[in-house]
Amino acid sequence: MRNKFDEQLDKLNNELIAMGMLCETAIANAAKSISTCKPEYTETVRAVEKEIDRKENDIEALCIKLLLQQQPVARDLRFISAAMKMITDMERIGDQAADIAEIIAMGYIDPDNETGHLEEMAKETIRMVTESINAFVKRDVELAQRVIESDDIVDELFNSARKDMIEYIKSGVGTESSRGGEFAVDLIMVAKYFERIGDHAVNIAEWVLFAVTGKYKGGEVL
Amino acid sequence: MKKRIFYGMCVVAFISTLLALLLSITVMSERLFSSVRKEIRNEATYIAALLDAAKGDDAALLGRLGDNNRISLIDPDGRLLYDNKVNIAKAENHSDREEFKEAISGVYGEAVRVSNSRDEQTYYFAVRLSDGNVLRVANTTSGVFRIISDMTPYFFIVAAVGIILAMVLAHYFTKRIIEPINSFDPEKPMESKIYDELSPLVRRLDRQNKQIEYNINALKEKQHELIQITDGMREGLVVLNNTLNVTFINKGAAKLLGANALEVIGKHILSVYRNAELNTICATALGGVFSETETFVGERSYRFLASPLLRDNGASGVIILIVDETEKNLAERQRREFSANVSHELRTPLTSISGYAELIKNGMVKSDKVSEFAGIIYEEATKLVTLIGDIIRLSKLDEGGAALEKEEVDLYDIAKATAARLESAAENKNVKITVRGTHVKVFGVPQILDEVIYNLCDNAVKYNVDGGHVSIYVKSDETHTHVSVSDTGIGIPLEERERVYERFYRFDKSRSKDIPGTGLGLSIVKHGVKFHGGTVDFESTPGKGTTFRVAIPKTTK
Repeated sequence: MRNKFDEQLDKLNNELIAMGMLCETAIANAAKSISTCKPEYTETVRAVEKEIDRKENDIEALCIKLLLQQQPVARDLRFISAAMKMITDMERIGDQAADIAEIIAMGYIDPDNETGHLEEMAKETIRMVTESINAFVKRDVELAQRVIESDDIVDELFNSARKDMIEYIKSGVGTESSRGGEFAVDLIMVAKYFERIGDHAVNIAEWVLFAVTGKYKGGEVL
Repeated sequence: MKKRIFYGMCVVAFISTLLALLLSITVMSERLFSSVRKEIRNEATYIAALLDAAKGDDAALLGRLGDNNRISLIDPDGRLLYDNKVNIAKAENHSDREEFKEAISGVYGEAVRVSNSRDEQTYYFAVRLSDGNVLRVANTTSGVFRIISDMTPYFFIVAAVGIILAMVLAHYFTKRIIEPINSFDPEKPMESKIYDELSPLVRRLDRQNKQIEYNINALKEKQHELIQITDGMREGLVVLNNTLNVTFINKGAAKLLGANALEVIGKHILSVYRNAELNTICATALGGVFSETETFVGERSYRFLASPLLRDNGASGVIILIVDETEKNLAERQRREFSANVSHELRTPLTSISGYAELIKNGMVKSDKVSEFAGIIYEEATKLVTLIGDIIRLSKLDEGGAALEKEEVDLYDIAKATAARLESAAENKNVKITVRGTHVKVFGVPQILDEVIYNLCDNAVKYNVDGGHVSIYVKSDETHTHVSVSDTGIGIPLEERERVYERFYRFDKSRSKDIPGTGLGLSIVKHGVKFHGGTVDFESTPGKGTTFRVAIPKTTK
């Protein structure tokens, strides 16, 4: 019976890693759609986002089944509950990656008029998501801690992008072009989505910490 | 085992006690009975003799004899005259008694009467006295079963003692039997001390041990061989089981995936290397279909080939082969670029040649300009010849310079000759060439070594500044021969370092038009040095100059 339980826990672990991998793919493709403006990346992101949703359902069902049938305690319970929280964050990451690709597909942002902060943000958020999943794979507390700390970098980049846009609007460059307004709004939205993805990566890292140490946001929960 | 031995011993003890009891009782009761008979007969004979001799009151005399045995005196009619056990008044007539009848008719008579109800047997012995009366002595002994029932308590005591003894002995024997077995070392059966009865087992164990050892060694050797083969591979090899957990990984794969070979065994492939394409091809391979993918990891490109591990029905695992294709792709790209470059480089002079020639052919050139145009055609044709010469030299080097023969070459002489050849070109640029060092002989191909030094010096002069200096220095140490060519030229920018040896690569595109050259020089140098097993490197400060150093190992052959 326990043996079966261990098997199922292993399966849960692997499914989570697979879902994390899909998230990485989704953001990577969203980022590529920014730098290349090719519609095929948007298509890929959409497909991956659907896949992520399916995975979320599967993992959720597996978690509930495990909770009901095995009545886990201590570390196993922490792991399963952390998994249930993590998939929510991962699903949001997938959605936001799809949203970014959607906005890019509208074509108001192209690599030439972008100020460079978006690409940097994309790079930084991909790194954060990858590292948060690495932290989960290796159960690495230190790495998770680093991910949580690196959230400031993305926040800083978002502030820079915001300032850029304010300058852009103030300078009135946009008024000459018929698409200036759309550009400013879309860019700030994409930046915000990246900033949110960074926050979700931080959440995942926090749940990793919880699964390993039993502490959530520094306090004992279970 | 102890219990069974104990039970066995108990049964044996019980049965033997019982048998001994029965046998002894049977024999003993027989003996007892016959001795009782003898005794009674004797007693009766004595008493009869006594009575015959006494001739007095028989009853009074008999009364003095005690009542150990029953003694009766019977008259010839069968009436009891005396009895020490029975009241004679109430006694019945004894005339029909067997022993009485026998005694009356003969001298004596005897009879045995068994009382089944009381399990007793009574022995009667009668003697006819001289006065006609009959003296009878009788004794009652218990029957066999009475004896048995009398003996039963003793029997149980003996049986109990037997059982206790059996218990002790069973414990002792079990210990004796088990101890050597427990202390028996199956690894070294022949060395253990064990009793003879087990020696067939021991011998068999020994034989099996040897067989097992042989098999294990064979397996180990095979495994070792496999590990050596797989670790010697540059390609990565990973074997996954049916749940995509790693069961085997070779050194190459561990290196390519950046994993620790010992830690990843038993882990899911995604925990080891998270890659969507890899995951997809693994799933496909697990479905029984070969699949492959190419993916970029940072700067490097890897090809993953996943084949199903087929067993009986369907795939029981996946074998992944990882090939680093970075170099192959780079080489392919360079080959493609090379052909494109060659065609381009060949085409440029040919275009001008055919253009000028066409002008002359169509009479579009004034006669006084013809020689000028012919000069241009000549110049371009020379360029073409030089280029083709360089390409031929390079392809010869590519093929390993098989046709060229090695001999002793003095590098200092070559340097001197090169300096002389370049003197006019150097004078044009106002560059001074000096050759220093010692005469050093290497074993090599003179044409190639000449090309190497010429190209280095040619570059040193070409890319020099007005009033600059080129210094060639030849020396040798214990293992290598060194040639260094320093100039005071424009230098090579740091970011171009990796590319200068590429074919047709000329770093300063804007200046390439002014400085003649094919872009093959350093490529020839590199291949020429490599052909001799040497190395070439350089250090350069942009704007100050460059020093190329060639080191060729000393070999006799």
